[in-house]
Amino acid sequence: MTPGTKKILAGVILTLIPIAGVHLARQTAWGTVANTPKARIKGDLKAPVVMVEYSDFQCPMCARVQPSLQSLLERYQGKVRLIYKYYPLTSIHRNAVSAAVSAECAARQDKFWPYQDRLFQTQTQWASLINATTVYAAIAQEVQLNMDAFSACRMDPSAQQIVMQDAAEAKSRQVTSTPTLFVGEQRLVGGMIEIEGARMVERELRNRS
Amino acid sequence: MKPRDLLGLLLRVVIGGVLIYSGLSKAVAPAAEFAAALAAYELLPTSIIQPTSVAWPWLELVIGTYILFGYYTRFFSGVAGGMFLIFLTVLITSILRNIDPGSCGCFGAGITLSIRQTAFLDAGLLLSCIALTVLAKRPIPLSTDSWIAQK
Repeated sequence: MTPGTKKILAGVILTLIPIAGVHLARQTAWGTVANTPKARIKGDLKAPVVMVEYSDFQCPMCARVQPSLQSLLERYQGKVRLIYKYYPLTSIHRNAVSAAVSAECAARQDKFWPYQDRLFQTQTQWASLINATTVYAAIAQEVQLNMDAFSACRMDPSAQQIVMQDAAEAKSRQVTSTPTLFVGEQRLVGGMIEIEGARMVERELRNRS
Repeated sequence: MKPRDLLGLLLRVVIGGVLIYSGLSKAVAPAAEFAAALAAYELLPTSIIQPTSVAWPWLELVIGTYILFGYYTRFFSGVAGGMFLIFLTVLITSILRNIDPGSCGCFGAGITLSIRQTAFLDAGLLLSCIALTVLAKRPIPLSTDSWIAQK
């Protein structure tokens, strides 16, 4: 075999190895988006474009993108709806689960959105607390929840189960960081939601027209 | 095996291994994850972020494979050195601009390193690439280059 042939052969084989490796390692089957209660859906329920947000109340970037999401809902009123999914990053955020459970309890009283707004707005006040229960209760009072029902719900294991079901769904869809937003099947992560959100909605609307 | 050859082999394994791990962890994950990491540095124009997030992991992966298997070692260790120089420049300018993207995003969701830890790692890898470029003037044993040079 001539050196020239060897070079070409080696080049082809060594280029194919990583391509095959990625092909084998890449996840090809995706989990589906489970039904979400109306309380955690914002915008027109019949809107053609569905945005699904996997988010963690203790994540600073999740708090940062909230105005962008709100502005998308206002700009494309009647055309998009937003579904909120809990994805507490338990390994780095100690209060993420308890905050999500509290939000779920607010959702059961149909006050999810005002509650989540306040959770994000006050994030720096409760994120580092060992026990943030009093803050959650204060927000609950502020958004006028029934406090007995709220307290009972926070003790109810089914609320945490809902949170964990959402987290499992996120993992099945290969969501590894928050916030992750799906606009239809298009995925945006972190600061890209602010940069590319409108373009993705426009593209999704074009695909559907 | 001579110490020079052993060092060359070791550098190939380290540089190639890091690039392959880094490229693979990003290439198997959705490109949107790496796009977010790139956006966090606030350096690239938005129009370039998406294509870069797709192409860069493949570049790392292919060049890492070439270096690991010792294919055009001298040339590709020079290219890898250029890549590490780009990383280092991005990291240093981010430190100077007081931008902390949290995790560097270098290894996808695999390993989380701070921006300063990554800068040290990249500096070490850049020096390793320079050393490998020098050592690979002659084919290093157990490499594709030495197989090609065999008559």
